[in-house]
Amino acid sequence: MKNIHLTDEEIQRYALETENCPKVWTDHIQHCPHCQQQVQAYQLLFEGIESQEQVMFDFDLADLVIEQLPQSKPVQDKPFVFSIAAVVALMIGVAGYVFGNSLTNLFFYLQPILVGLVILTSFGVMVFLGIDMYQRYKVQMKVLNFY
Amino acid sequence: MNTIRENNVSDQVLVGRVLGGDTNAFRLIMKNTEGLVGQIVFKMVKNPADRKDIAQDIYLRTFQKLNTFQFQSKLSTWIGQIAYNSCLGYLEKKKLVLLDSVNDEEENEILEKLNYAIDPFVSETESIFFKQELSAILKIEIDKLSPIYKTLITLYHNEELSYAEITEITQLPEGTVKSYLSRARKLLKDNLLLTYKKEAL
Repeated sequence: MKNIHLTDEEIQRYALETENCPKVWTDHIQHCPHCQQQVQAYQLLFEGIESQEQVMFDFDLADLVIEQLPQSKPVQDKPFVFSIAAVVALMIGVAGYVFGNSLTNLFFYLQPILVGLVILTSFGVMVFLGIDMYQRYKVQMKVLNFY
Repeated sequence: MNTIRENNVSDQVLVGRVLGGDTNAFRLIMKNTEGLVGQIVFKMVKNPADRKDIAQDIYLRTFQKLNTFQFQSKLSTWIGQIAYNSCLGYLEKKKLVLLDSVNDEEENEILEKLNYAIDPFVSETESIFFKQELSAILKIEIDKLSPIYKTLITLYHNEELSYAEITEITQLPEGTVKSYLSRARKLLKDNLLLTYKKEAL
């Protein structure tokens, strides 16, 4: 049997995991009121700590965070997208085969001013969409790069 | 072992879904880890407004870094580590002390007082009273501890994390974690007995 008192760390370990402690400690504690009292104090302490209420945020953290996340891309069904693309390609192919000559002639007979107008409008729309996309990208990066 | 593997699999599924653009999966990750993050934030940050900001920052940072998660630990432990580091950054920014050192003189004084302390566990009535009051007194005493002591006590006793997990979250050596925990418990026990003695007198 150990004649000197157990150290504080030994007492703590005994209070936490009695069954895994060396027999000399158990023998000492069984005969030492001082160490028994220390063990009891720690056991009460641990009981008290474990009975503390679980802390909780008083706001919905998930909602707050989710609304700051960049908008997720819709999950697309790949087979569906491929089948749509195949149908579109088939339609273009059939149209090209049936109306091929007429379509080529269409560009020859169109007035240059009309062609210019179409190109200019398309270019304008593309620039507008590009600027809008860049601005949204900058806002999202600002949200993410907060550190 | 099986539980660890199961955790890892479910972590992988959740992370995969988030990286694929599913924000609901991220919501689920938040719900699963909010308790742990809350414990760390509440123990390390006193100001409620700051807690709110830090808690949001923790999860935004988690989202931003999720593609770098290597699955070498549980996802919750990794998020716990982000939470701990964020709070640490906050304490450093506010120039707050993570660990108050109790000087030897102060410690000796406590021990000296304890030598004269009335044995609070002799009578059964006193013991019952102590148990009833314990929770309330303990809450105050835990609040008085240094942020790191409070956090370690909570992670070990309330969140029931292993030393290895606590080491991973705090990035402190295992020996230091054990030593800090031991000191924190002793300080808590001594302060508790002193408070109890004062109240009993």
